[in-house]
Amino acid sequence: MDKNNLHRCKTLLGTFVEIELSGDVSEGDLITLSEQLFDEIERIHQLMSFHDEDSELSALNRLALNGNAKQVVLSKDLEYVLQFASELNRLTQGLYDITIAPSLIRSNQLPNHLSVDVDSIDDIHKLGSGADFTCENGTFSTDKRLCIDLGGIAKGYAVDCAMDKVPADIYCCINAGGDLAMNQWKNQKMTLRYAKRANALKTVKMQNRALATSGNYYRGNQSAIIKPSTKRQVKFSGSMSVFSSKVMVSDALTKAMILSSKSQRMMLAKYYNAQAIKLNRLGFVKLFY
Amino acid sequence: MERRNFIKNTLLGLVGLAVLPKVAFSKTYLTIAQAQKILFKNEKLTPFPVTLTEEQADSIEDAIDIRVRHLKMNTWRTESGDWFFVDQVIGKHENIELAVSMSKNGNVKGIEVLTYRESYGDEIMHPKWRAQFHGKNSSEFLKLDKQIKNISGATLSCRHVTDGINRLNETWQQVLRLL
Repeated sequence: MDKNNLHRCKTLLGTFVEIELSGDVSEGDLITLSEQLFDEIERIHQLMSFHDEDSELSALNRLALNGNAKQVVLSKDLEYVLQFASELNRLTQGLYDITIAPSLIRSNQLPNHLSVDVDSIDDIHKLGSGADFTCENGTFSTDKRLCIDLGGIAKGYAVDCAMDKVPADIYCCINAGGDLAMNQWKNQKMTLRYAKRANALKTVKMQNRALATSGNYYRGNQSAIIKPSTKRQVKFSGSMSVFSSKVMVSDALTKAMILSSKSQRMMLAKYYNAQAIKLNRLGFVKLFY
Repeated sequence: MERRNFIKNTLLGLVGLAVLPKVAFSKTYLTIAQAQKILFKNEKLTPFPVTLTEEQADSIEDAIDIRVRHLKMNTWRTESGDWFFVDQVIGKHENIELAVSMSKNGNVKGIEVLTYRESYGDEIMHPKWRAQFHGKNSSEFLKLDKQIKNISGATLSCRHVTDGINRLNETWQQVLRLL
């Protein structure tokens, strides 16, 4: 049978999700597979979306904000992501923190449908941090009031889950707003964008099967990177890209690396067997691995 | 000081225009026929052109505060009365062609992005630039663009697509429902 290709793009996870498939199967089979992959991404979106008031995350946030989050039973997916976030929080001494939602609400980057009190920075400081919850044996517990946003990790996890469903003999590349995975990645080239202007592109070779990039250049004056100690935005130009074996790890590490010192970046890269590429706004490269 | 800044910015802008090559990132995903196959399987679609009047467009704009750029709509219908649209959405940084399927009761059933192009403001005024949409002569401009296979960068929001879908919903509510 001839090789067939399919390249689709849908709006999911608040961004554009592209799926590219290629293999010795019929076009109909590729369409069926792509539907399954989009469905899987949508399933994770429904669990972990902050914007969706009916998501599992919103239900957990409601309990955590009321101070009633004791032994809350979690789905396997949410447990896995929260455990990883907790581990990275410990490893970065609090720099990677998923409880920065109140700061993002304060800067109007997230909706305030949970009615979190974010009038002043002091109010936000009173809430708990990423070190104040435990996630064990499928349950979530915290003593403090806190609010979680998985915007910096869930896209990566959704791509990982979809990628697990692809048969090995079919080439697949899934790109969810810059967080991407490729199953036949060797000798493939990748273009990194580091600023808004059209020619701010750098081509690199794929180093591993997953890649994620974070940057602020589409956000105008805002920044989605929040320093947990001050609860304020960190402005930075350029971009940070991380290669690793899982998109979730890459996605989370981009945020942790932006906030880390040089030695911490090296340590994180070594620990997760990742390679980080920092591009400044003029395209100069710094590597950490 | 303001004058000095103005002169500096103007000069930098002119140098930029003269020196930097103009590239735009673009991607083509599905053809209209492929999108129809995905969204409607083997159901037969017949072109059903709809042209809005100025009053209808104004009324839609007033209801949802989203601009209606084209009065002529690219619309198809199935025998059972479901709708298929090919629509264009212009965002802050992007220019997107969408295929949307809608049931005869006005519920959106599926959305596919057909083409995604970066835009930098000025070129959308160019008639040739706009002509590439709606399944017309897209090859001419795609040739000028830098074709990049995979790109990883900061996450773009898809809010403008949501606006486009809201506009189609309101158009159905006010106009198409009665056809």
